[in-house]
Amino acid sequence: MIRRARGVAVVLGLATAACLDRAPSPAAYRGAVIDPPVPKPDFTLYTTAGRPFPFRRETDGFLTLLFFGYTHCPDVCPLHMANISAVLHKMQPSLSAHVKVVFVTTDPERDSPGRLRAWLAGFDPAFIGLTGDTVAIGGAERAAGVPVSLRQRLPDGSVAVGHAATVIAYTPDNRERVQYPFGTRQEDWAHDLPLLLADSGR
Amino acid sequence: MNATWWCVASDAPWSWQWRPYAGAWAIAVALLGLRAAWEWRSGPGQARGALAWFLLAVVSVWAATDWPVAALGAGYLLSIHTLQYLVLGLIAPALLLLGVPGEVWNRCLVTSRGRALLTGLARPGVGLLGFTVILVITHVPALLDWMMTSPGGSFAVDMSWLAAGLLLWLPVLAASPLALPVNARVGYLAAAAVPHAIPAAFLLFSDYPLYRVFELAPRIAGIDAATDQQIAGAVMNFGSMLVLLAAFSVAFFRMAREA
Repeated sequence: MIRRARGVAVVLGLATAACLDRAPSPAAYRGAVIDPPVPKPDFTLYTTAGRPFPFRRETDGFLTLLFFGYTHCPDVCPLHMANISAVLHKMQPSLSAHVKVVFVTTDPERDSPGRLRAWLAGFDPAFIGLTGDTVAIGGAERAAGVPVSLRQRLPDGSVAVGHAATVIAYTPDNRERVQYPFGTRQEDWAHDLPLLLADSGR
Repeated sequence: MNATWWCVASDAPWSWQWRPYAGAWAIAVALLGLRAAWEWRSGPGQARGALAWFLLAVVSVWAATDWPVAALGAGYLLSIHTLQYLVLGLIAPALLLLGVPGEVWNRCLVTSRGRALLTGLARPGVGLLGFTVILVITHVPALLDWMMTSPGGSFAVDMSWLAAGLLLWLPVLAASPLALPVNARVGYLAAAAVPHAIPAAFLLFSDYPLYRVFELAPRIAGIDAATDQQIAGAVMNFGSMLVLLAAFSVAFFRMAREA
Protein backbone atom coordinates (compact mmCIF):
# COMPACT_ATOMS: atom_id res chain seq x y z
CA MET A 1 0.00 0.00 0.00
CA ILE A 2 2.76 2.38 0.99
CA ARG A 3 4.69 1.47 -2.15
CA ARG A 4 1.63 2.07 -4.31
CA ALA A 5 1.05 5.43 -2.64
CA ARG A 6 4.67 6.32 -3.22
CA GLY A 7 4.34 5.33 -6.87
CA VAL A 8 1.28 7.55 -7.25
CA ALA A 9 3.18 10.38 -5.60
CA VAL A 10 6.09 9.93 -8.00
CA VAL A 11 3.79 9.98 -11.02
CA LEU A 12 2.02 13.05 -9.67
CA GLY A 13 5.37 14.67 -9.03
CA LEU A 14 6.54 14.01 -12.56
CA ALA A 15 3.25 15.19 -14.00
CA THR A 16 3.40 18.37 -11.94
CA ALA A 17 6.96 19.04 -13.04
CA ALA A 18 5.96 18.53 -16.66
CA CYS A 19 2.88 20.75 -16.33
CA LEU A 20 4.86 23.54 -14.79
CA ASP A 21 7.50 23.06 -17.51
CA ARG A 22 10.11 23.58 -14.86
CA ALA A 23 13.03 21.46 -13.63
CA PRO A 24 13.20 20.44 -9.99
CA SER A 25 15.08 22.86 -7.82
CA PRO A 26 18.75 21.82 -7.49
CA ALA A 27 18.31 22.04 -3.74
CA ALA A 28 15.80 19.21 -3.97
CA TYR A 29 18.54 16.69 -4.78
CA ARG A 30 20.25 14.69 -2.08
CA GLY A 31 23.42 14.28 -4.11
CA ALA A 32 26.02 16.98 -4.79
CA VAL A 33 24.58 19.32 -7.41
CA ILE A 34 26.82 20.41 -10.29
CA ASP A 35 25.98 24.02 -10.97
CA PRO A 36 26.15 24.93 -13.78
CA PRO A 37 25.57 21.50 -15.34
CA VAL A 38 28.43 20.05 -17.38
CA PRO A 39 27.98 18.47 -20.85
CA LYS A 40 28.11 14.68 -21.03
CA PRO A 41 31.59 13.52 -22.16
CA ASP A 42 32.09 11.75 -25.43
CA PHE A 43 34.39 8.73 -25.16
CA THR A 44 34.31 5.29 -26.68
CA LEU A 45 35.09 2.07 -24.80
CA TYR A 46 34.04 -1.55 -25.40
CA THR A 47 31.13 -3.49 -23.98
CA THR A 48 31.63 -6.92 -22.43
CA ALA A 49 30.46 -8.33 -25.76
CA GLY A 50 33.34 -6.55 -27.51
CA ARG A 51 31.16 -3.97 -29.23
CA PRO A 52 32.29 -0.31 -29.38
CA PHE A 53 30.22 1.87 -27.06
CA PRO A 54 30.25 5.58 -27.90
CA PHE A 55 29.10 6.75 -24.48
CA ARG A 56 27.34 9.94 -25.40
CA ARG A 57 25.46 8.51 -28.36
CA GLU A 58 24.48 5.22 -26.68
CA THR A 59 23.10 6.93 -23.61
CA ASP A 60 21.45 9.88 -25.34
CA GLY A 61 17.97 10.53 -23.97
CA PHE A 62 18.45 8.33 -20.91
CA LEU A 63 19.13 9.17 -17.31
CA THR A 64 22.65 7.75 -17.14
CA LEU A 65 24.55 6.76 -14.01
CA LEU A 66 28.27 6.45 -14.71
CA PHE A 67 30.69 4.82 -12.29
CA PHE A 68 34.36 3.90 -12.50
CA GLY A 69 35.29 0.90 -10.36
CA TYR A 70 36.50 -2.69 -10.34
CA THR A 71 35.01 -6.06 -9.57
CA HIS A 72 37.54 -7.01 -6.86
CA CYS A 73 36.59 -3.84 -4.94
CA PRO A 74 35.60 -4.93 -1.41
CA ASP A 75 33.32 -2.07 -0.47
CA VAL A 76 32.47 1.04 -2.52
CA CYS A 77 31.77 -0.53 -5.94
CA PRO A 78 29.52 -3.42 -4.87
CA LEU A 79 27.63 -1.16 -2.46
CA HIS A 80 26.93 1.52 -5.07
CA MET A 81 25.81 -1.11 -7.58
CA ALA A 82 23.70 -2.99 -5.04
CA ASN A 83 21.96 0.15 -3.81
CA ILE A 84 21.20 1.46 -7.29
CA SER A 85 19.98 -1.97 -8.36
CA ALA A 86 17.72 -2.35 -5.32
CA VAL A 87 16.07 1.01 -6.00
CA LEU A 88 15.66 0.45 -9.74
CA HIS A 89 13.93 -2.85 -9.04
CA LYS A 90 11.45 -1.06 -6.80
CA MET A 91 10.72 1.74 -9.27
CA GLN A 92 7.93 1.49 -11.77
CA PRO A 93 9.25 -0.21 -14.93
CA SER A 94 8.03 2.73 -17.01
CA LEU A 95 10.49 4.92 -15.09
CA SER A 96 13.39 2.50 -14.64
CA ALA A 97 13.37 1.76 -18.38
CA HIS A 98 14.70 5.28 -18.88
CA VAL A 99 17.75 4.71 -16.69
CA LYS A 100 21.07 3.31 -17.91
CA VAL A 101 23.77 2.28 -15.45
CA VAL A 102 27.26 2.25 -16.95
CA PHE A 103 30.14 0.68 -15.02
CA VAL A 104 33.63 1.29 -16.43
CA THR A 105 36.29 -1.03 -15.06
CA THR A 106 39.42 0.63 -13.69
CA ASP A 107 41.14 -2.76 -13.49
CA PRO A 108 41.04 -4.09 -17.06
CA GLU A 109 43.85 -6.59 -16.42
CA ARG A 110 41.84 -8.61 -13.90
CA ASP A 111 38.34 -7.64 -15.03
CA SER A 112 38.00 -9.75 -18.14
CA PRO A 113 34.82 -9.06 -20.13
CA GLY A 114 33.37 -12.35 -18.85
CA ARG A 115 34.14 -11.56 -15.22
CA LEU A 116 32.79 -8.02 -15.57
CA ARG A 117 29.60 -9.28 -17.21
CA ALA A 118 29.02 -11.94 -14.54
CA TRP A 119 29.72 -9.49 -11.70
CA LEU A 120 27.30 -6.87 -13.06
CA ALA A 121 24.65 -9.51 -13.76
CA GLY A 122 24.72 -10.25 -10.05
CA PHE A 123 23.20 -6.81 -9.54
CA ASP A 124 21.21 -6.35 -12.72
CA PRO A 125 21.72 -7.95 -16.14
CA ALA A 126 20.82 -4.61 -17.74
CA PHE A 127 23.82 -2.83 -16.20
CA ILE A 128 26.33 -1.98 -18.92
CA GLY A 129 29.97 -2.92 -18.37
CA LEU A 130 32.67 -1.12 -20.32
CA THR A 131 36.33 -1.92 -20.68
CA GLY A 132 39.33 -0.94 -22.75
CA ASP A 133 43.05 -0.43 -22.31
CA THR A 134 44.33 1.65 -19.42
CA VAL A 135 45.01 4.64 -21.67
CA ALA A 136 41.45 4.66 -23.01
CA ILE A 137 39.98 4.20 -19.54
CA GLY A 138 42.17 7.02 -18.18
CA GLY A 139 40.94 9.18 -21.04
CA ALA A 140 37.34 8.37 -20.15
CA GLU A 141 37.98 9.27 -16.52
CA ARG A 142 39.52 12.58 -17.50
CA ALA A 143 36.63 13.28 -19.87
CA ALA A 144 34.17 12.56 -17.07
CA GLY A 145 36.09 14.88 -14.75
CA VAL A 146 37.11 12.29 -12.16
CA PRO A 147 40.67 11.51 -11.00
CA VAL A 148 42.46 8.87 -13.03
CA SER A 149 42.51 5.57 -11.15
CA LEU A 150 45.71 4.11 -9.73
CA ARG A 151 46.71 0.47 -9.33
CA GLN A 152 48.67 -0.31 -6.20
CA ARG A 153 50.21 -3.57 -4.97
CA LEU A 154 49.66 -3.92 -1.22
CA PRO A 155 52.21 -5.41 1.23
CA ASP A 156 50.14 -8.61 1.46
CA GLY A 157 50.50 -9.12 -2.29
CA SER A 158 46.95 -8.13 -3.21
CA VAL A 159 46.20 -5.36 -5.67
CA ALA A 160 44.05 -2.37 -4.79
CA VAL A 161 42.81 0.16 -7.28
CA GLY A 162 42.31 3.71 -6.12
CA HIS A 163 39.40 5.20 -8.02
CA ALA A 164 36.74 7.87 -7.78
CA ALA A 165 33.96 6.81 -5.39
CA THR A 166 31.26 8.98 -6.93
CA VAL A 167 28.47 8.00 -9.27
CA ILE A 168 27.89 10.68 -11.89
CA ALA A 169 24.31 11.30 -12.96
CA TYR A 170 23.62 12.64 -16.46
CA THR A 171 20.07 13.71 -17.12
CA PRO A 172 18.33 12.76 -20.40
CA ASP A 173 19.42 16.09 -21.91
CA ASN A 174 23.06 14.88 -21.76
CA ARG A 175 24.16 17.07 -18.88
CA GLU A 176 25.92 16.13 -15.68
CA ARG A 177 23.76 17.53 -12.91
CA VAL A 178 24.47 15.61 -9.73
CA GLN A 179 27.22 13.46 -8.24
CA TYR A 180 26.63 10.80 -5.60
CA PRO A 181 29.50 10.09 -3.23
CA PHE A 182 30.03 6.89 -1.28
CA GLY A 183 27.49 6.95 1.53
CA THR A 184 24.52 7.57 -0.75
CA ARG A 185 21.70 5.43 0.56
CA GLN A 186 18.88 3.61 -1.17
CA GLU A 187 16.34 6.11 0.10
CA ASP A 188 18.48 8.90 -1.44
CA TRP A 189 18.44 7.16 -4.82
CA ALA A 190 14.71 6.52 -4.51
CA HIS A 191 14.23 10.21 -3.83
CA ASP A 192 16.51 11.55 -6.58
CA LEU A 193 16.06 9.20 -9.55
CA PRO A 194 12.49 10.35 -10.38
CA LEU A 195 13.61 13.98 -10.02
CA LEU A 196 16.56 13.39 -12.32
CA LEU A 197 14.29 11.76 -14.89
CA ALA A 198 12.10 14.82 -14.79
CA ASP A 199 15.04 17.20 -14.95
CA SER A 200 15.94 18.00 -18.52
CA GLY A 201 17.00 21.50 -17.73
CA ARG A 202 14.00 23.04 -19.32
CA MET B 1 46.27 -8.38 16.34
CA ASN B 2 44.19 -5.23 16.67
CA ALA B 3 42.36 -5.44 20.02
CA THR B 4 39.86 -2.84 21.22
CA TRP B 5 37.90 -2.78 24.46
CA TRP B 6 34.44 -2.95 22.84
CA CYS B 7 33.10 -3.74 19.39
CA VAL B 8 32.42 -0.86 17.02
CA ALA B 9 31.24 -0.42 13.44
CA SER B 10 34.03 -0.48 10.89
CA ASP B 11 34.16 0.29 7.18
CA ALA B 12 36.93 -2.27 6.65
CA PRO B 13 35.98 -5.42 4.76
CA TRP B 14 35.08 -8.30 7.07
CA SER B 15 37.93 -10.57 8.11
CA TRP B 16 37.87 -13.83 10.07
CA GLN B 17 41.01 -12.78 11.90
CA TRP B 18 40.40 -13.09 15.65
CA ARG B 19 40.04 -9.77 17.50
CA PRO B 20 39.19 -10.12 21.18
CA TYR B 21 37.31 -7.36 23.01
CA ALA B 22 38.78 -6.67 26.44
CA GLY B 23 35.47 -5.31 27.76
CA ALA B 24 33.66 -8.56 27.03
CA TRP B 25 36.25 -10.54 28.98
CA ALA B 26 36.21 -7.99 31.82
CA ILE B 27 32.44 -8.29 32.19
CA ALA B 28 32.62 -12.09 32.19
CA VAL B 29 35.36 -12.01 34.84
CA ALA B 30 33.39 -9.45 36.91
CA LEU B 31 30.28 -11.65 36.83
CA LEU B 32 32.30 -14.70 37.85
CA GLY B 33 33.87 -12.62 40.63
CA LEU B 34 30.42 -11.60 41.82
CA ARG B 35 29.37 -15.22 41.89
CA ALA B 36 32.51 -16.17 43.82
CA ALA B 37 31.76 -13.41 46.34
CA TRP B 38 28.23 -14.75 46.87
CA GLU B 39 29.70 -18.19 47.33
CA TRP B 40 32.24 -16.92 49.85
CA ARG B 41 29.69 -14.93 51.88
CA SER B 42 27.15 -17.74 51.94
CA GLY B 43 29.63 -20.36 53.05
CA PRO B 44 30.59 -23.51 51.20
CA GLY B 45 27.80 -25.25 49.35
CA GLN B 46 25.19 -22.67 50.30
CA ALA B 47 24.73 -20.98 46.95
CA ARG B 48 25.27 -23.76 44.44
CA GLY B 49 21.69 -24.43 43.34
CA ALA B 50 21.64 -21.85 40.60
CA LEU B 51 25.28 -22.14 39.55
CA ALA B 52 24.53 -23.75 36.19
CA TRP B 53 22.09 -20.97 35.22
CA PHE B 54 24.61 -18.35 36.25
CA LEU B 55 27.44 -19.92 34.26
CA LEU B 56 25.17 -20.17 31.22
CA ALA B 57 24.38 -16.47 31.64
CA VAL B 58 28.08 -15.58 31.77
CA VAL B 59 28.81 -17.63 28.65
CA SER B 60 25.91 -16.08 26.75
CA VAL B 61 26.90 -12.50 27.71
CA TRP B 62 30.50 -13.19 26.73
CA ALA B 63 29.55 -14.85 23.42
CA ALA B 64 27.28 -11.94 22.47
CA THR B 65 29.83 -9.25 23.31
CA ASP B 66 33.05 -10.79 22.00
CA TRP B 67 34.36 -11.57 18.52
CA PRO B 68 32.98 -12.69 16.10
CA VAL B 69 29.33 -12.10 17.08
CA ALA B 70 29.97 -8.63 18.48
CA ALA B 71 32.04 -7.51 15.50
CA LEU B 72 29.49 -8.77 12.98
CA GLY B 73 26.62 -7.27 14.95
CA ALA B 74 28.26 -3.90 15.51
CA GLY B 75 28.82 -2.98 11.93
CA TYR B 76 28.18 -5.63 9.32
CA LEU B 77 24.92 -7.56 9.67
CA LEU B 78 21.73 -6.25 11.23
CA SER B 79 20.52 -9.84 11.60
CA ILE B 80 23.49 -10.62 13.90
CA HIS B 81 22.91 -7.32 15.73
CA THR B 82 19.34 -8.46 16.39
CA LEU B 83 20.58 -11.86 17.52
CA GLN B 84 22.82 -10.02 19.99
CA TYR B 85 19.75 -8.17 21.19
CA LEU B 86 17.90 -11.46 21.73
CA VAL B 87 20.76 -12.85 23.79
CA LEU B 88 21.58 -9.71 25.79
CA GLY B 89 18.05 -8.37 26.12
CA LEU B 90 16.08 -11.55 26.69
CA ILE B 91 18.09 -14.72 27.25
CA ALA B 92 21.07 -13.65 29.38
CA PRO B 93 19.05 -11.52 31.85
CA ALA B 94 16.66 -14.43 32.46
CA LEU B 95 19.60 -16.78 33.05
CA LEU B 96 21.26 -14.23 35.35
CA LEU B 97 18.15 -13.91 37.50
CA LEU B 98 17.69 -17.68 37.59
CA GLY B 99 21.33 -17.86 38.69
CA VAL B 100 20.88 -15.63 41.73
CA PRO B 101 20.85 -17.92 44.81
CA GLY B 102 17.94 -17.66 47.25
CA GLU B 103 20.28 -16.51 50.04
CA VAL B 104 21.32 -13.50 47.96
CA TRP B 105 17.68 -12.48 47.39
CA ASN B 106 17.06 -12.86 51.12
CA ARG B 107 20.07 -10.74 52.03
CA CYS B 108 18.90 -7.99 49.66
CA LEU B 109 15.42 -8.06 51.14
CA VAL B 110 16.62 -7.83 54.74
CA THR B 111 17.52 -4.15 54.48
CA SER B 112 14.65 -1.70 54.08
CA ARG B 113 16.48 0.17 51.32
CA GLY B 114 17.15 -3.02 49.35
CA ARG B 115 13.58 -4.18 49.78
CA ALA B 116 12.15 -0.84 48.66
CA LEU B 117 14.40 -0.72 45.60
CA LEU B 118 13.69 -4.28 44.49
CA THR B 119 9.97 -3.97 45.17
CA GLY B 120 9.85 -0.84 43.03
CA LEU B 121 11.84 -2.40 40.18
CA ALA B 122 9.86 -5.64 40.24
CA ARG B 123 6.54 -3.91 39.52
CA PRO B 124 5.13 -5.18 36.22
CA GLY B 125 4.43 -1.65 34.97
CA VAL B 126 8.02 -0.61 35.61
CA GLY B 127 9.32 -3.76 33.93
CA LEU B 128 7.19 -3.50 30.80
CA LEU B 129 7.50 0.25 30.40
CA GLY B 130 11.23 0.34 31.07
CA PHE B 131 11.85 -2.54 28.69
CA THR B 132 9.70 -1.05 25.92
CA VAL B 133 11.29 2.40 26.18
CA ILE B 134 14.82 0.97 25.97
CA LEU B 135 13.85 -1.42 23.17
CA VAL B 136 12.36 1.38 21.07
CA ILE B 137 15.09 3.96 21.78
CA THR B 138 17.91 1.56 20.95
CA HIS B 139 16.29 0.81 17.59
CA VAL B 140 15.80 4.43 16.46
CA PRO B 141 17.85 4.49 13.22
CA ALA B 142 19.60 7.86 13.62
CA LEU B 143 20.52 7.13 17.23
CA LEU B 144 21.75 3.59 16.58
CA ASP B 145 23.78 4.71 13.55
CA TRP B 146 25.48 7.27 15.75
CA MET B 147 26.04 5.01 18.74
CA MET B 148 27.53 2.11 16.81
CA THR B 149 30.39 4.25 15.54
CA SER B 150 32.08 4.51 18.94
CA PRO B 151 33.02 1.82 21.49
CA GLY B 152 31.27 3.86 24.20
CA GLY B 153 28.04 4.07 22.22
CA SER B 154 28.12 0.41 21.27
CA PHE B 155 28.80 -0.52 24.91
CA ALA B 156 25.85 1.65 26.03
CA VAL B 157 23.52 -0.12 23.59
CA ASP B 158 24.59 -3.59 24.77
CA MET B 159 24.39 -2.71 28.46
CA SER B 160 21.04 -0.98 28.10
CA TRP B 161 19.68 -4.19 26.54
CA LEU B 162 20.97 -6.16 29.50
CA ALA B 163 19.36 -3.67 31.92
CA ALA B 164 16.10 -3.75 29.95
CA GLY B 165 16.04 -7.55 30.12
CA LEU B 166 16.63 -7.54 33.87
CA LEU B 167 13.74 -5.08 34.29
CA LEU B 168 11.51 -7.25 32.11
CA TRP B 169 12.25 -10.51 33.86
CA LEU B 170 12.35 -9.24 37.47
CA PRO B 171 8.57 -9.51 38.02
CA VAL B 172 8.73 -13.11 36.72
CA LEU B 173 11.99 -14.53 38.03
CA ALA B 174 12.68 -12.64 41.25
CA ALA B 175 12.35 -14.54 44.50
CA SER B 176 9.13 -14.53 46.43
CA PRO B 177 7.56 -12.18 47.56
CA LEU B 178 8.91 -9.91 44.78
CA ALA B 179 7.70 -11.99 41.83
CA LEU B 180 4.15 -11.81 40.53
CA PRO B 181 1.68 -14.56 41.40
CA VAL B 182 1.84 -17.36 38.84
CA ASN B 183 -1.43 -16.47 37.08
CA ALA B 184 -0.34 -12.83 36.75
CA ARG B 185 2.96 -13.96 35.23
CA VAL B 186 1.06 -15.58 32.38
CA GLY B 187 -0.63 -12.31 31.48
CA TYR B 188 2.58 -10.31 31.95
CA LEU B 189 4.54 -12.57 29.60
CA ALA B 190 1.81 -12.37 26.97
CA ALA B 191 1.98 -8.57 27.20
CA ALA B 192 5.79 -8.67 26.94
CA ALA B 193 5.50 -10.04 23.39
CA VAL B 194 3.80 -6.85 22.18
CA PRO B 195 6.74 -4.37 22.30
CA HIS B 196 8.82 -6.55 19.97
CA ALA B 197 6.21 -6.19 17.27
CA ILE B 198 7.08 -2.48 16.87
CA PRO B 199 10.71 -2.74 15.68
CA ALA B 200 10.03 -6.11 14.04
CA ALA B 201 7.33 -4.58 11.84
CA PHE B 202 9.62 -1.76 10.76
CA LEU B 203 12.41 -4.22 9.97
CA LEU B 204 10.16 -6.55 8.01
CA PHE B 205 8.11 -4.06 6.04
CA SER B 206 10.33 -1.04 5.34
CA ASP B 207 10.88 -0.34 1.67
CA TYR B 208 14.54 0.52 2.18
CA PRO B 209 17.26 -0.30 4.72
CA LEU B 210 16.70 1.62 7.95
CA TYR B 211 20.20 1.75 9.36
CA ARG B 212 23.01 3.54 7.56
CA VAL B 213 25.67 1.60 9.44
CA PHE B 214 24.42 -1.75 8.13
CA GLU B 215 23.34 -0.54 4.67
CA LEU B 216 26.77 0.86 3.84
CA ALA B 217 28.83 -1.89 5.48
CA PRO B 218 30.93 -4.14 3.26
CA ARG B 219 28.75 -7.13 2.40
CA ILE B 220 29.34 -10.57 3.83
CA ALA B 221 28.53 -13.77 1.94
CA GLY B 222 26.58 -11.79 -0.64
CA ILE B 223 23.75 -10.96 1.77
CA ASP B 224 22.30 -7.64 0.61
CA ALA B 225 21.11 -5.00 3.06
CA ALA B 226 17.40 -5.54 2.40
CA THR B 227 17.59 -9.33 2.93
CA ASP B 228 19.69 -8.83 6.04
CA GLN B 229 17.08 -6.42 7.41
CA GLN B 230 14.26 -8.88 6.74
CA ILE B 231 16.17 -11.67 8.47
CA ALA B 232 16.66 -9.28 11.40
CA GLY B 233 12.91 -8.64 11.53
CA ALA B 234 12.23 -12.38 11.56
CA VAL B 235 14.83 -12.94 14.29
CA MET B 236 13.28 -10.14 16.36
CA ASN B 237 9.74 -11.37 15.86
CA PHE B 238 10.07 -15.15 16.07
CA GLY B 239 13.12 -15.28 18.34
CA SER B 240 11.52 -13.13 21.02
CA MET B 241 8.27 -15.02 20.62
CA LEU B 242 10.08 -18.32 21.14
CA VAL B 243 11.83 -17.14 24.31
CA LEU B 244 8.68 -15.62 25.77
CA LEU B 245 6.62 -18.64 24.75
CA ALA B 246 8.99 -20.92 26.65
CA ALA B 247 8.63 -18.77 29.77
CA PHE B 248 4.89 -18.47 29.20
CA SER B 249 4.57 -22.28 28.96
CA VAL B 250 6.45 -22.78 32.24
CA ALA B 251 4.24 -20.21 33.99
CA PHE B 252 1.09 -21.63 32.43
CA PHE B 253 1.78 -25.24 33.46
CA ARG B 254 2.75 -24.11 36.95
CA MET B 255 -0.52 -22.21 37.15
CA ALA B 256 -2.44 -25.27 35.94
CA ARG B 257 -0.66 -27.47 38.49
CA GLU B 258 -1.39 -25.07 41.34
CA ALA B 259 -5.04 -24.84 40.30
